[in-house]
Amino acid sequence: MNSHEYTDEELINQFQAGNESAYLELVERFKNRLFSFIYRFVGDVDLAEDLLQDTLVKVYTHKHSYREIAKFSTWIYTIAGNLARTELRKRRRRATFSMSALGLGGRELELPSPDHTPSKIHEGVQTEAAIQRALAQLPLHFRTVVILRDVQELSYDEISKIMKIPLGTVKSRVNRARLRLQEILSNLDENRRNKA
Amino acid sequence: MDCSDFRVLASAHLDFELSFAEQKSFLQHLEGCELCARLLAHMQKIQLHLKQGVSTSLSPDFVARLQERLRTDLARRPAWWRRLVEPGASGLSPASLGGLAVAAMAVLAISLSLFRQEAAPLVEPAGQSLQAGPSFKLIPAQPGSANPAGVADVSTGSDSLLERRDPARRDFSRQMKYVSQVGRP
Repeated sequence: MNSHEYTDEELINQFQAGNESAYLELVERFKNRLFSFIYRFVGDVDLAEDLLQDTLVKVYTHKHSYREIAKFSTWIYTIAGNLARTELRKRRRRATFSMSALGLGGRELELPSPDHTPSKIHEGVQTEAAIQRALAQLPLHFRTVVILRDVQELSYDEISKIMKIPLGTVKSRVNRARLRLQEILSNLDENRRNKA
Repeated sequence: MDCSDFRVLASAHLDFELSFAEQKSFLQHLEGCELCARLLAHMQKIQLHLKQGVSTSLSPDFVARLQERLRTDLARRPAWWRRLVEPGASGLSPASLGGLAVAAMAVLAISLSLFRQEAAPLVEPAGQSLQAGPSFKLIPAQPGSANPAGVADVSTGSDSLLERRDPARRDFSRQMKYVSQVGRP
């Protein structure tokens, strides 16, 4: 059986039994998803990579604390989310976190849009920058739900388990977070137009 | 439906979570309210951008760096720790390790309770002398005397310190002395 045919839960079971290649398969499956989740959370590429590494190291060293009562994805998102939140709190305490910094780390941008004309690329970068700035302005509990729902496309049920809050609270929080995000982006847009 | 109801249901509409009746009145409001139509269009646009994912990607050597870190991190841990967290390495199953942990906790709890009994204050608060036992008194500190610090006088009576603190222990000890004396030829 090919390792691609195993479920995440089967792979972690194999890893718990000592199969290291099952761990590498899980890393391959989750690294990009988790990276975009953490990046949207912290808004800094290098920090997102470091936190992703911390998350995957934790999965390796704490593999036996995973129990099959939960989905593997719920477990790993919980670890990543907790690490990202802790880091953000630390940074806030140190007051060195610059919300305006996009923190792209000098790395080149790859646009998901199929249209790669220079003007479209510029527009895409602008939009992404604006969205990242708006996300950074959201309170942490709103940011978390909107990233889990709209970036990671997780179900309300899974978000409720990750955040340990009732399903109804998740739904209302997602709605309020989306409205707040829309409000922030409208204001940013208005400011930009006024400056122009 | 008014604009505030519309805002409450906007997110559920985007997630296809509205009931048929709710959806109908939602769309009716949408047709007649330009402000809400603009709000919904903006929300849809943001959602689409978020779904497209981030435009940055991981470094190409990310997995190699992760493996290197795992190697160094694990090598830094002491061998006994590695055996403990890696049940395969110690040859013990997680259940056996759990049993060992419970046994260790039990031993620790018993030792602590014994230690606490031994370390209880030897001098009682005033007015709370032990039943029928010799009372303790503090000898005031006297410079130049044999007891300059003023320690508790524990020399009175023949019972041991523990016996003086615990009447049950004292009674048992006295009974044992009696039995041993009676039993002598």
